[in-house]
Parts: sequence; structure tokens; C-alpha cells
Amino acid sequence: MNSDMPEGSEQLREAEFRRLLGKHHVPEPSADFVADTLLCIQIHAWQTPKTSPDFVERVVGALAEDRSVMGAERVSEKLVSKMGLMAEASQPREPVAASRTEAPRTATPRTGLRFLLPACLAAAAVILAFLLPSGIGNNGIGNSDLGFPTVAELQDPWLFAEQGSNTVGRMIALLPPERSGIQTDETEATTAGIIPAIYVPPAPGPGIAQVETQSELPFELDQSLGDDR
Amino acid sequence: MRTENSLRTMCRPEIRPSRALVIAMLLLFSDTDAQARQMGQATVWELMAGRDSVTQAELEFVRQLDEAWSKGSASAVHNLFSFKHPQMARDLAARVNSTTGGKPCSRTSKVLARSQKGRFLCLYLSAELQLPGAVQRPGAGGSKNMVLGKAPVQAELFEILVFATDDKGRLPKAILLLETTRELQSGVSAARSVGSPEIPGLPLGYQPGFACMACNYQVRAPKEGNWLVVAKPRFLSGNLEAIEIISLDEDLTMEVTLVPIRQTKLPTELAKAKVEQIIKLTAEGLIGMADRKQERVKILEQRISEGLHAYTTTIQLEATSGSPRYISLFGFRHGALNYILSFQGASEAQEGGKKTIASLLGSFRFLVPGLSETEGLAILNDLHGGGGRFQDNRYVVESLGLILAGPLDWQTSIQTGVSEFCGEWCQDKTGSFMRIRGIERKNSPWNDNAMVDWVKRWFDMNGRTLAGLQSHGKLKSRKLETSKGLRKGMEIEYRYSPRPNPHKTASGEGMAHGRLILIPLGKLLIVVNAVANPSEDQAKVLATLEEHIASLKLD
Repeated sequence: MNSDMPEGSEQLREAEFRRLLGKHHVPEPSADFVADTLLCIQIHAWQTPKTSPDFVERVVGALAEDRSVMGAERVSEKLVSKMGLMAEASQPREPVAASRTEAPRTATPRTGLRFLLPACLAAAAVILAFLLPSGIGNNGIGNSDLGFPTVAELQDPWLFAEQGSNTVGRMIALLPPERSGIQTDETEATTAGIIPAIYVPPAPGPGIAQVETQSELPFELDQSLGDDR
Repeated sequence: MRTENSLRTMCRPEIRPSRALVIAMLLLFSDTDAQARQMGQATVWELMAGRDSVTQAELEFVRQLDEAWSKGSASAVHNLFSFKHPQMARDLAARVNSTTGGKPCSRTSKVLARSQKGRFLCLYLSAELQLPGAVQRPGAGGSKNMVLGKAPVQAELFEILVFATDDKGRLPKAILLLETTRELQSGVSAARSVGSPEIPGLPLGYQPGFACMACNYQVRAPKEGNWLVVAKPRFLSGNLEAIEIISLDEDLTMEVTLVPIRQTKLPTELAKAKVEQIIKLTAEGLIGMADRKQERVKILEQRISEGLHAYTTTIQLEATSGSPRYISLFGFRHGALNYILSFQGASEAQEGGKKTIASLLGSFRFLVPGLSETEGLAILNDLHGGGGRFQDNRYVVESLGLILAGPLDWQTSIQTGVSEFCGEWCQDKTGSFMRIRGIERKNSPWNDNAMVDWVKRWFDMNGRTLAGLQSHGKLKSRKLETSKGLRKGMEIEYRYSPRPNPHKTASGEGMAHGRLILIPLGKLLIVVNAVANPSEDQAKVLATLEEHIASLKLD
């Protein structure tokens, strides 16, 4: 025992308990463990290994028991550093150990738990999100009940064939423009004036001069047209 | 000049002076290639012109490419390529069709410069296209055919052609041919080797990247591997800004697409939902395009930092031919922009691609973090606003001598997007509005055919959202007085039912009355769109808008 050990049996037992506790060596997770786990789950969701039927229940139960573990902040901060997004300058950050060798060598089980459980929390949240019957944001644009075009309506084979491939950017270009007051009843109540979404097609390629009839024009042409300028 | 503009914008009253100073300093001293561009540094095609001599085999390939393209045949062009990225193959086919109309033309390419990294080499091409112009087009209901655009069409394409040489340095098939513009591509930069200075425009080198001060971000390819970074122009992407980071070693591509917010009075909660909607609809749209349908798109939300949330989803698609593909989407809103980062590649490459994707995501940086929406809009409008600004109720683009005055008591706003510039007036009471925008056709001037096609597409696309949209009268010519004489354009009237909310009975049974006026200025098309919503004053509003349009000034 150390010479500075406090006197009294209760205190001795406590000190001895702490000394023994200190011998427990729970390996520190690598600096990127949490962010890596999240990233992998999010990017390659279909690769998430199958879990036991009561996995979510057990994880959530364990979390409920340890109310002091609130890892969301740290998870998000690590994800920030993983994604390289610079957090607001004013936001304080918890210092992160530069490498595994600099991490405390005698972490208590509780400390280890504090690092590991945020990952479990995040994993549980992700899995719960998958299990829920509806995802976030199933309303809004794309809902034909609200007067927006459905995705099926947006898919114009001719437009795609003529404009280019189905790269993500091109799909985004076909999405309905943001409206300035047509989303919900609340919006209508507060905004008397309604500006509809108006698509602005990009300029056609030079080959349009060669195309005679893709389909019938939705308007007639006046005789005043047709001169070269 | 741009720096002066940005400083001027940032000192506008709506931005706190101290904050504006910080932003200005960050922009001035941020390590971006844009700075180099402003300092007049030569681009790679200027720097390398004539230095790295083009081989006979390369010249012969370019000749074959011109020959195939001149046939107007996408398959003939495809035969010259060995694609790693299926979407790039479709993109090229679409470009062949879009530039030739699927008919014979004449294409002559000039090799501007050549650069090489390992076994990959890039040729920078300036291709001139010549097409006969005269085409007959029928009107609605089989009305009399019109012959439009009698003059031959000339177009110039700026392209990057990429080869992968074999072990013996021989030239097999090319792997990519991408169109961009000189101006946009000069925002890309890379070093030729580790430690050497960065060269603007260089798409293939050591960690090529792209930075945009207006859009407040930079992104860079990983250190390992061979990557090509190409900036996609608005007329090809349909978006404000789009960057493609393409792995030359495997079928993996990252796209950065920027969607600006609208200046809006929407409650914040509704505005925040937009990123998620973009991700959801994009994923659903891509699934809808594929053979295999996925029942539901699951969107995950992740808090990145205070006030910054990312939405993400991954979908797996069954390609029509070839192996399945996966697409991961990440979206977040910052300042005045929605940033959509997407990855797509072959499913079998997903395991090895994890670190690469993490590295690409990790390279993303905001040049000025924590930018507010107001600050973001001010910078965006100033640097990507095409020089348009409001002086009271007058919208002015000095470089064009364009001045359009709107009604005095209407709200004004600047919008950014696929247009070069856009000014908007809106009457709060009725929702009547007037917009003026410039749409650039980068590779050839606007002609009658192109304008008719644009109006057709305008009706086709907006017919899906505007209930009962129909033309009212014919598409006819319209002459506008300018300081350089009469300019001839086109005009069409249209009507639709302003249906604010289908759950309610539309108030007022009337139709909205609209005018579309198109004025070509070489490669720029000025479009004025004015709409008077049904109200007691509709006729008066329409007459007022007509008066304003008639007073449009142009050089």
C-alpha cells in the first residue's frame, strides 16, 4: 500500500478497491473508431452484420442503466473531424488523444465504457432508424397530395436521353425548385403571395439545329419567326 | 475586381462589420487556387502548350474521334473508348446526340496541350463543330411547318481527353472524354508532383482539387491513386455548380453538386427540411431509373455541429447491363447553399472504397466556417450573381447595359442557379411576379431553333407543376429598342391555374396570366417572365408589367 493511504477501514477498503480497479486495463478504442463505425454503417448500410434478435433491446437497456453516458456530442465531433467539416470556431472541442500511445494506460472500466457506449448508442440509433416503419421526412416535395410532381412524373426518358446520363447531379437538376410559400397550410396562412416553382431548362446543345421533330410543340409558331438574325 | 466586390458586399449593413472583416480576411488569405487565378497564373493548357509534344498515335486517335463524331453516331464514338465508369459512357453518348442531333456534321479538333501522370495522360482539346442550320418544325395541331435557323451553326467545345497507356507506354483506347469550360476548369488545380507548385486547370496530378470562394468550399482528391477532377458547366449539369472527382484506377466517382436556397419567407423549420428532401427525392429518382426497385429510401440524420445537420442514404442499383452499382448521398446546408456530396461505383468495389470515400469526405472544407444564411447569400449573389444587382427597384447588369425597372412597391431579390444572373420582383399581396435572367449557351450562339426548343422544354417541365398550363396565342417575334438599334426576340403568352393548396378550394377561379420574352445576345439569352395572378387588379398589374418590360434597356 502507498504511504499516503488514508486511515480508517472504510477508507482503506475504498482505496484498495480503487487500486484494484485501476489494474483493470480496458484497451482504448482507436481515435477514429467511433467515426469509422458510423461512417461504415451509413455508407454501406446493407453490409451491417446481422444482429441477434434482442440486440437493440439489450443495447438500449444497457444505455438506460448508465444514464451518465451521453456520447452524442463526442460522436458528432468525431464525425465532424472525419468528414473534415470545420465546426464553428466558437464551439469548444474536447481534446482528442493524438495517438493510441498517448492515451491513458490505466483507464477504468467506466472510462472504457464511456468511449465504447457512444458507438453502441449510435449503432442502436441507426438500427432503430432502419426498423422504424417510416423514415424521416416522408412528406414534402415529391408528395403528389401537396401538388408536387412525383418522381415518376419527373422521369422523362426523352429529357434524360437528350440531356445526358443519370448522374446524381443531373437528377438533382430535375428536382422541383424550392418554393417560396406553397408548402403547407401554415405557410399559406402567413404568406398571401404565392410564387410557384418555375423550372429553368438549361440551354440546348448545338445539335438542336439538326433535330426536326422530337415531339409536337405545345404552342403554335407565328409567321413572323424564321428569319435569320 | 472580384475581391473588391466581395469586400463591398460584405460591408453591407446586414452583415456585422467585425464578422465581415473576418470573412474578408479569410477569403483573401485562404489557400485556394482562385487566388492564383486572380493573380494571373497560367492554366495548364496555356503553360503546357507546345511543351509536351503530342505523339503521332495521339494525333491519329483525335482524328478518328473527329471522324466518328462527324458521323453523328454515339456508337461510333463509343467504339474508340474503353470505359471504366458506365455513367460517363452514357454522358458521352448524350453529348454526341446533343451536339449533332444524331446527324452528320463536321468536327475538327485542335490539341491545345498535353499533360501526363504516370501511365495516364490528358489531352486538352478545342473542337469546332459545324452543322447545317435549316430545320423544319411543326407547330401545335400539325400547323404549318416553319423553317427556323437557316444559318449554319458553329460551336466550340473545350474537352479533356484521358488515356491510360499500357505497360509498354502504347496508346490503347481512351477512357474518358469530358466537356468543361476554360473559365470553370481553371478553378481546378493540382501539383504535377509532390511539393511542386499547383497549376490552375490541371485535372490530373498530385491531389487535384477544386475551390470556389462564392460557394465557400474546397474539396481534394486523395493522395493515393490517380484521380481526375473536372468542373461541370451549368449548361451540362443543370445546377449552379457541379464537380466530378473520378478515380482512374477503379469505378468510383464523387460528385459535388450545389443547390442554392431561395430567398424566402419560409419558416426556418421548413427551410431546414430542404436538404433532406433533396437527398430523398434524388435517391428515389435514381432508384426509379434503375431496373431493380427498392421499396423505401431510408434517410439518416446526423448532427455534424451546432446548427449543421447532414442527411445521408445509400442505395444499391441494378444496372441495365453490367454489375450492380451503389450510390451514397450526403447532404447538408450551410450559409445559403445545400451541399450534396455523392459517391457512386461498382458494388464489388465498395469494400475497398470505404477508406477512399472517407478520405474524399475528409477533404471537404468550408473556406469560411459558420457562415450565416445572410452572409452566404451576400457572397453568393456577389460572386455568382453574374454582375446583377438592384438599385432600388431597378435591376442592373452593367456589363450588358441591362436595366429593367420593376414596380416600386414590390419585393426584390437576387436568385442564383442555372442562370448567369436573375433578378426578381414580387408583389406580396397577390404573388404576381416578374423575373429577368440570363441563360448562357456556352458552346454556340442562341438561334431561333434553340429558343423554340428552350420554350418547348419550359412548357414541358413546368406543365408538370403548374396546373392547366397552356400557351395563349402563338410564339411570335418581338422587337425591343436598344441603344444599338432594334433587337429581335420572341414572345409568348401563357396561362395556368395558381393552385396554392389542393386541399382547399382555389380562391378566385381565374387564371394567372404570364408572358415569356426571350432576347438573344450572342451566347446569352435574356428571359423575362412576368406573371399577374388573379385578383381585382389583374388587368392593371399586367399592364404595369408590360410597361416595365417595354422600358427594358440593353446595349
